[in-house]
Amino acid sequence: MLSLEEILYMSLAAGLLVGLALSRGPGKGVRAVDLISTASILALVFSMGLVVGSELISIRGQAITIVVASVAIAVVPGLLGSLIAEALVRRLEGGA
Amino acid sequence: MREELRAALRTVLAFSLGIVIGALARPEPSAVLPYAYLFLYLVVGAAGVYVGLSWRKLLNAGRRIAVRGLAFTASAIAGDMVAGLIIAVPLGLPLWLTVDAALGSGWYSFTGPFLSLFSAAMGVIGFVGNQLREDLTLALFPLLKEVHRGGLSGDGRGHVNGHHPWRHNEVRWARGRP
Repeated sequence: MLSLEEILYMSLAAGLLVGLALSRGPGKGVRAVDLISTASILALVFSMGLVVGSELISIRGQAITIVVASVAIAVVPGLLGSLIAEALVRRLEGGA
Repeated sequence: MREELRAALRTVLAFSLGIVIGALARPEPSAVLPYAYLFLYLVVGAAGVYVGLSWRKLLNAGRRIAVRGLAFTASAIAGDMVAGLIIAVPLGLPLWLTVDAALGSGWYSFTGPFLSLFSAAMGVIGFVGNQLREDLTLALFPLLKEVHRGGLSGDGRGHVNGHHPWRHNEVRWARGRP
């Protein structure tokens, strides 16, 4: 029995192969991929909402932590990443 | 309305509708999760397709741009991991799930549902945090790019949730039909 992670890697690899094949063709399959992607995203997010909604009472006590963590995740990783990127690009380009 | 705002609105509506129905009907997570896994595989497979479509563009971009792109990607990943650790410790959150939430890089439609498979609270944090991250990037990028060359690493996800016009332009550009 494959684990969740293994199936995710296999899905990614299969998608990559399909993408490489599509990039050679006239692009007719791209629209179908867009539709499948959008429908899957909406269905996945809805399913997640169902799971979160069913456990709403148990996570209500964590409301402040959830808000603070969400704002921190929105701001801190991007700032740190951009600082590292700036330093790295300066180094790669010889301080230009 | 811009395509990226429409896509974000659609996703937020689906999430909110799910929460309301879930709170009212109280389904067993074990009844919902098999379907969620299936949609998760489809979303990740579609992301792979988009990476495959962009690969030729990366190969054609030339060494300097490719090295720069990889440097930005590595920086974003490093920043995400460090930030996840910094956020998890003072808030008492699960360490690796918080790092996972930070590594979402704005891909809220994947990160939130994926984390909700392990913890409902982390699912909400992964979804809302990454949704905010993408919105902040879209709102602030025109200002940040003037003063900060690394501003792009704020949202490494870009088109996956529905920025399709951007990707179509990339594909056309890669095929020599800009």
